[in-house]
Amino acid sequence: MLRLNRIILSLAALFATVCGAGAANPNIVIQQLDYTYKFIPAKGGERLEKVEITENCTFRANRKEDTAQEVSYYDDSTLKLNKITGGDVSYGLMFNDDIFFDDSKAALVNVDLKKAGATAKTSISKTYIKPEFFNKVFISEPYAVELASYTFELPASMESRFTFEPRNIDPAKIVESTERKGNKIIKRFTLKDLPETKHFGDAPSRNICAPQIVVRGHFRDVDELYKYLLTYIDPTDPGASAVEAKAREITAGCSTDAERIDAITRWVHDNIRYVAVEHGEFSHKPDQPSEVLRKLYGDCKCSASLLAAMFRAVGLDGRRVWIGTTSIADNWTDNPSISSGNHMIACVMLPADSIIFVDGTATYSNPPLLPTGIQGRQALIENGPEHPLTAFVPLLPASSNTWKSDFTIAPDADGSLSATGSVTLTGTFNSSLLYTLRSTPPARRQEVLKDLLLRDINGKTATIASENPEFDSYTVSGTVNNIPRPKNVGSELYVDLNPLPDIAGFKYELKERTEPGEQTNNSIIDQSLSFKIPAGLTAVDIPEPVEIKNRYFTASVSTTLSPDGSLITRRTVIEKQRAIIPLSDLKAYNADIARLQRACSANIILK
Amino acid sequence: MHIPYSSPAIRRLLLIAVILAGCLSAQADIDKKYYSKVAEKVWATELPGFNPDADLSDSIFQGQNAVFIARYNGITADFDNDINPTKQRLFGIANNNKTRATVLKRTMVKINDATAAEDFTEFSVSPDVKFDQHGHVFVSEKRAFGARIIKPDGSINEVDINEVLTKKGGKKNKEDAEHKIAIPGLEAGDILDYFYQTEYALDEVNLDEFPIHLLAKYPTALFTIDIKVDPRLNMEYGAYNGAPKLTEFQHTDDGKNLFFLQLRNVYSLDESIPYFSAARQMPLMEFYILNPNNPLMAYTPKMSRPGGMRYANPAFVMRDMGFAIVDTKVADKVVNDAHTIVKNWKKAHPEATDQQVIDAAWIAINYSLIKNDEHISGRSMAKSFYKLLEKMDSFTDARIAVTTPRTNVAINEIANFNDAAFVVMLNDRLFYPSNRHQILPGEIPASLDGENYVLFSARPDNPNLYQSVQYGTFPTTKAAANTLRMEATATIDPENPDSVKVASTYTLSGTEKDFFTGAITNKRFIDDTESFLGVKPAKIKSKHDDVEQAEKVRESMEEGVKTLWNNDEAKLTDFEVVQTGTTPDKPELIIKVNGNVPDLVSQAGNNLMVKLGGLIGKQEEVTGKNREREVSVLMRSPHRIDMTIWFEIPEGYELVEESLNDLKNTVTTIVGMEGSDATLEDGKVKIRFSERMNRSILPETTWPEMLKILDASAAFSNASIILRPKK
Repeated sequence: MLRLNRIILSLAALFATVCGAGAANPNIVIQQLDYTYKFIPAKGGERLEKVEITENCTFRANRKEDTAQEVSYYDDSTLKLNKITGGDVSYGLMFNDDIFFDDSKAALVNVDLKKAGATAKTSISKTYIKPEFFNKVFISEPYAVELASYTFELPASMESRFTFEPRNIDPAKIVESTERKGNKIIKRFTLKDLPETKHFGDAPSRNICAPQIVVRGHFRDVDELYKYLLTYIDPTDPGASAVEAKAREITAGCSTDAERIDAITRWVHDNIRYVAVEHGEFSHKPDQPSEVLRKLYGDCKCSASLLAAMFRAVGLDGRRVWIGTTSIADNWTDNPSISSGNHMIACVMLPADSIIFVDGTATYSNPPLLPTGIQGRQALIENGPEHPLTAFVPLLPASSNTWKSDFTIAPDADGSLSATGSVTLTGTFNSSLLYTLRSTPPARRQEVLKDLLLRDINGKTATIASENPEFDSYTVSGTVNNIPRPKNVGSELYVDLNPLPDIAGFKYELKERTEPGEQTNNSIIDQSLSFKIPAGLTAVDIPEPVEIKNRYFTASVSTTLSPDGSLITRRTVIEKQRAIIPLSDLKAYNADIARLQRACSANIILK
Repeated sequence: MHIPYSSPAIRRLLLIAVILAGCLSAQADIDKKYYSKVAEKVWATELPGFNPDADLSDSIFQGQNAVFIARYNGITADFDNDINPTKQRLFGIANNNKTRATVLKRTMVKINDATAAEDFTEFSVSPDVKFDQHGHVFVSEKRAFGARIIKPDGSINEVDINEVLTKKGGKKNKEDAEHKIAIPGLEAGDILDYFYQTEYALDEVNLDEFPIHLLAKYPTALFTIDIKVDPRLNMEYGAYNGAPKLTEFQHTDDGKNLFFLQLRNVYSLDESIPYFSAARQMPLMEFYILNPNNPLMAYTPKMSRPGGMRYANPAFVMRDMGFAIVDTKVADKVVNDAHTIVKNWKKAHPEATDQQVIDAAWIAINYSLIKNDEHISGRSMAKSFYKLLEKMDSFTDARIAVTTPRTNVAINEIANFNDAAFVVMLNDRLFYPSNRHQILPGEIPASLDGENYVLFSARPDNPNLYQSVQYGTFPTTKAAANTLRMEATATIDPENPDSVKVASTYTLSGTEKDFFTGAITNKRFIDDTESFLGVKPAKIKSKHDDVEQAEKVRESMEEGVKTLWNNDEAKLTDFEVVQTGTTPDKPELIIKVNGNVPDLVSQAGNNLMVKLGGLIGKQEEVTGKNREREVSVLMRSPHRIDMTIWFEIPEGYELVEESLNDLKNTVTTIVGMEGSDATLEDGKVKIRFSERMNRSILPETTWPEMLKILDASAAFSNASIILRPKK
């Protein structure tokens, strides 16, 4: 029966506003966009007090009457909305599924364009009352832009301090100018003919690949940034004794530092629920460790603070660590800015400069393994009042994230086919399975494991023989039943031994693509599928092995016959490197995947 | 897109706004004192089953992340008709006509593991709502929330209401708010006891209905429904799919009618069953507490029942519907406009039969709605169409009927007059108001296949309409009424030898047209309608951009071909809607779709395997636990699929004819059939695939028979032919 994925143009799609990822509306263009950012210094000092923003936008309808929409985000704690003119304005709360509570809001301006050719102008005024949060300007609009200018107006005294760096913009499309007006410096970037924004799910984060102007200079160096971040940390904790007592209780049976680190981390993973509360200063200020312990919930900075406090309570040198995940473009030392981080973990400083990093939110990564999102990233480590330490979180090799399966297809007593074997997952694959298992009622866990086998082998039902969760791996053994029979053509049997039937999903969508691709992890996929050759038949035309090597992965597909001729096996191994794949390489990348796919799908003829 | 028919909820809001143009506000801050006061009262009240030491030894509670020890749904509703001088001064109405109700939902849950602790961490409370005009409050909804944790040692930690976080929004942060709370200190082994309470004070407005689902994510030891209603108010309820039906009620000491129901050891809910309808297969109750004293802002059918409590007697509900039809206003402007159009159409088609004229009238009235940018209810549409037929003199046999599709409870069980679909019946033909224009005039949509209806056999403006009900059942449609035919030619793409180029034509009827609903732009529909009616193109008020919609339709089609050809990488080259299937003269939807399907060709030695079976589309593959079934099977409709694919053998290759053998297959069971055939004709490979499902509803005992067909179709979608190099 045809699955009813109807081609339905949903109302939601029709009326998708610019708040969402609605398709572009080619009827509307932004004829002119002028954004101005005025840097206002504090009286009598070098300090920057605020940044005043004016966003003027002229919309035009090309073919017929329409309504343009503009969305302006604010939160009142770092960025205030002052005034909007030029359309019908409605104000709403913003919600993000990943954040339990914050203070983000949006104003939606509906601008009527009453006929073809009509234009209308909106003007929005906002102020960064915490100017250090003004770190970049994204050059992305939901409509095509004919002419845009971004003007930064700052006191001459700040000229050497602040820099403005265009990123991910075709140099041919941007003109930069600097003008001195009295004691002001006016830096302007003018751009023409910008397409509407389109972000691909398999691209790096917008932070990394969207066109933008990066604003640098709020902090002279990492030390200054660090001192600023420390202002969010409350050095005293009235409830510290409770934290200490709990840490001692958790580690009561431990005899080594490694055991203590492990015990505390596991306890935090098992008991501290992830709840992100990020309004106002809580976007950067963690709860006191004792509060986290009382609530048994918190976000990354809360679990990191509790971890660090607990480590210290048992005599370890526990510290907080600010870090940017792989969705952040810059290292702290390259760009000492708030925007270079988005996460907090903890660490333990061990003798001989050894650092053990621990992520309190990585519930499904057993310590000291770390989630791939922070591997290889630069850490800013708490280190007294003046100078932080910086270090890189180790980037684990591909062998730390493996999906390995090995199955043999053989006939059952009733003549139907079944495959017996096992799947072993490690690293990030193991974490995903653990997450799924944990969110499944215990009574239905077996179904999850069966689905895991059915994912690798095309059959109708599965039985589980054993499951073996270990420190960082999960092995599921069992049998998949009702496997499609090989195609029988006269005296020949065509055996489909494709160990990776879903490999087409590795390709990148290229249509209208303007962004690079991303391979988020180092990983190895190693899958073998064997077929027991019925008596009287032999394999002919066994395909030659295929090897593919490029900058992003190496892969091999081999088909081998057992020495006694009774078993034919195809093994596919792909080792991927974490990488951002430039747009110019994606076509070749897809072609390599297609070669791999051809090699995997080649049938074996038994005669 | 023009949406001519609006939902009851939207109508209610519009009504309030139109009548009073008052001020709707949300309270930004929580009233902590009120929260605390309510919590004190709730915790002090002994409710049945709220016992932390409850016996959970029954097997249904084993292996669960959490168990509901008790769930309590309580409603207390009073009527207030005190004299109100302020209201008299402002609105000329001397008395309150007010429903005051308190709704309490309390839950006690045993947290067995960290997953459950996460499940019960986050709670949201909507802000209080007030709607007033000149200071007179018509709508007030005041909410409270409370929670406490009972630790394994029996100690009780009440959650401090100061933990509630309030996010404010709107202009000057005064128009919008959301209250959230994360439960602190909750861990495995705890028992969480929490409640939501809302106090309603609704003057001249009815309470919304209260649906209560008896099954929940976790099993429940004791589930209680406790409803006390002032005898001057009217409480009616429906109970569906095995939910208990109480018909005798007790009274409280203060004279209220009492509905009290307790269920023990209620199973948890499994939401992942295919071919399942929650409205028809899940125990569900719906409660309506209505003010029978003709509130100003809610339509109450005349001669509605006085206060009281009762299981929603179909006779009463049908009487309401009868009065509602009589009271419904006709969209005169639309009717008059449609009348002019259909008169002209009749002149231009003197040979037209009565049936054709009636069908043209239906098309005309739907077109007039869009042309005049009118938005009316389905009930008003049905009555307006009747009026149009009446204006046309000779078609006075038409009558209004009510029914429900399978996504709703059956019409003979419905608990409220507003939940039905109002349709027009004439000579066994049906006119179904819908925003889906593919339902043709006269057609009984297959979603009503075998469903019950109630016909009001008197004219719809007859004051005694309610006395004229006649129960009936729509005929079950044949699979042939809902067909999908596909003819395709396929060739290996010379530029990309792994891919197959496809040129296909789909011809669809009945419910199968739904598949391509999104392929038709508003403009195309209007163009076809104007062409059928023979009217000049009108200036349609819709603001929607035709070019933009065409682009969105293309995007939908680009996604759609992935299903059509069972390949996530399938690419659309172009498509053409040959016929929209929205007018009686061209009832079938015909669409040409061309594209490219990668990875259909693979090697086998020097031979090529071409997986042509994939072109029949993505099939329902039933695996794992879903192969077992304990509930009946509910499908959209019976249907028939016939596909023919012609494959051109590329130069230098010849077909291995034996490779067609496993593409020749027939499975016939009591529920339907799957059949396929493959031949070599004129040097081309011809593949035919058919599938037929005979019924919409099947008993669970026939599930193995249906699986045989589904499995055969799924297997065919993986079938290949083999080509070898010519010798």
